[in-house]
Amino acid sequence: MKTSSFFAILILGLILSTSCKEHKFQWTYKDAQAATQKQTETEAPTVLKAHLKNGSVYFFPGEWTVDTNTSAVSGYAYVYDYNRDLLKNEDLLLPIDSVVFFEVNKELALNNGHAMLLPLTLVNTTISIVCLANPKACFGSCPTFYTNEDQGLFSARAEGFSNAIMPSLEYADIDDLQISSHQGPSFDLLMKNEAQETHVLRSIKLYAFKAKNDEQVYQSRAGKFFAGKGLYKPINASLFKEADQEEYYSEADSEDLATKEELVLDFEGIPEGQDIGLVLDFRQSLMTTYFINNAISYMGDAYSEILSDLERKGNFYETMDGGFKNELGELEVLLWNEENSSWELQGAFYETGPIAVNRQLLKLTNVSSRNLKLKLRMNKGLWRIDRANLTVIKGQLEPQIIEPNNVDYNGLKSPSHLKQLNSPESPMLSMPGDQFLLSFSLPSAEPYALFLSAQGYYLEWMRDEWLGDKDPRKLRRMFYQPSRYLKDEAEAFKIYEQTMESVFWSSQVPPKPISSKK
Amino acid sequence: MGNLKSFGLLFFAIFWLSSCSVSDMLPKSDQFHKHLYGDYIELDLSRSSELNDVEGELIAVDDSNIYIIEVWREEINYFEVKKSEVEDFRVYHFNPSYPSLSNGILSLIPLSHGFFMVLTFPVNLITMGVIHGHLKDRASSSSKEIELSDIYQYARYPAGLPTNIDFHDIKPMPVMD
Repeated sequence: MKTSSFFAILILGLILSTSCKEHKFQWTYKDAQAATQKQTETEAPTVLKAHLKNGSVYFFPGEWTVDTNTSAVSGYAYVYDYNRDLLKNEDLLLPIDSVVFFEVNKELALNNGHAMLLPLTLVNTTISIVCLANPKACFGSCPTFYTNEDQGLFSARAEGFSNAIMPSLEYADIDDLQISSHQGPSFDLLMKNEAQETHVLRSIKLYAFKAKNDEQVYQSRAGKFFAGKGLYKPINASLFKEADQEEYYSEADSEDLATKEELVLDFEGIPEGQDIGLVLDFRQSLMTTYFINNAISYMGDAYSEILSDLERKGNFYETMDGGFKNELGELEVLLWNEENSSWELQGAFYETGPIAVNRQLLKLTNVSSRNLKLKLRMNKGLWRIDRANLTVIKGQLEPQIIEPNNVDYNGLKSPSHLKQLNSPESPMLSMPGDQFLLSFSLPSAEPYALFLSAQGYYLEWMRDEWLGDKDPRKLRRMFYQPSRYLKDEAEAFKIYEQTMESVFWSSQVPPKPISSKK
Repeated sequence: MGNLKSFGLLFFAIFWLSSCSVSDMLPKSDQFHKHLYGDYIELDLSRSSELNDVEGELIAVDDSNIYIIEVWREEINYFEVKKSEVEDFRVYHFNPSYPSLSNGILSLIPLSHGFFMVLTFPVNLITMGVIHGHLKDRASSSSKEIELSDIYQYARYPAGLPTNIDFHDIKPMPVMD
């Protein structure tokens, strides 16, 4: 919460700097001359209240003077008795000696509370507008999964099948729940639909591995599982050393959203003669979400028609893969080869979605030295990386696959949903706001490392506000001229990035560059 | 569900705090100079006092007593409080005018922020709390700022109770519209 405190202090500073306390606005004198002097030296308009011994008061709202010849205060006054009932109002002379106290009041012109809160209200309204225009950027997407101890969307353990925006794109997405040693006969997982989407769930399965004290289980991008022993941290990039939610990120290029960046990580003391893998904790920024929303809004009222057409042709994935996604690229890993003095591509990470952090393993090849130099090559502004460590791969593992044995739907036991989840031929539907508590029985009371497999697809709901943005020309450019589109769209994205990305980041991670770039 | 309950309670607390103005009897700051009654005072009294804590219009102060008229619903209470029993006090010079509407909006608007709510809700809450305190502080003087012996100047009768008038004959200040 450090950054949110900073925001609060900043906003408060802005507010309070324009609304300092008026320390003095009322003065009381026994001497009329002192009251006159205060009236003269006070820049703001003043009024005089002359209090009499009998409790009545003479109120001079306008000009008043002290006549030294007659020893009286002269001016237009309202005269009130001790109960403040009006007795008279007229031009008069009030003998000074009848007055026990002269009270000078300054007229105040202070900001009211609404004005003080205006900056905060504007910030809030801006975020609301952006969220209404881009609900997916604010309300999550795809099924999100939580354990009992998770608090809110930021702590989601997994988000299922983010890429599967049409039936033909259905796939099984495996996520590391980052539970390395769950002990107990059962395990509960809360699945939510927090977006304006229809989720079609073919299956939800738990992948369990018996935990060993000195080994961790990692999955590869291909959905294979490996035991890893030890963690070797980069010596030149402290931000990448720990899985502490302090993530590395960089802003997108302001001219071309496809601009790449490279980070070099140095490792020392890696065991020789062993299989080495890179363990990366990463997720995407909101950039992909922005493009998906744009694509849908460009379709406008033809959204369903276009999606149906793409579905029938069955080439949507190829179109996007070959064009737009290819332009943005993946999170590539390269290893420095001393002998050839060249970087060798080892593979790449890719997982759509800005919510849950993915933890995956990439096996390195041709590791010939105890000291390694790795390069991460990626699109600027697209990725967030929490940790990059090396581990010794001890062998491939096979999971024990566990189906749910109970489903609570919005708090009530639901055998029908359980049956659907465990019957691939009749998938389960989840609508916005739905919550399912999934229970699994573990094979034994031993500790297990847990992963989640979620298979299905989702249908994004069209929003009224998107209908006005229909732009087939931009849609074609996005699909068939992605390079040009990413340049054209840079200015608009930077505005989005400065609002939503900065808020998102600031709630998670302070911006920290790492030292070595090559 | 637990989160919703907490959020509801917090929202209620904020709204309750906002609507619970120290006094409907004081004018707003821009009308303060026209106010001909005493300021509004809150007194914290020592345990030995026969009275509970007292608040109301500051009528007068003399060497040993503070005279206060409290209007509570239809009831008018006249208090003579011994100065020696006062442990703490705050004098309100004008109505702090807490921004209830803005507070209500700023409590609810994070609901439209999705997961950014985890940031905007606490920021709004902290900011509203500080503004609330600032408004209160601006409209009043506490025992940390002024001495008890100086509060006479904020009374309806700064020179003390008029000798020819019975305290209980004094009409309370009217409630502001």
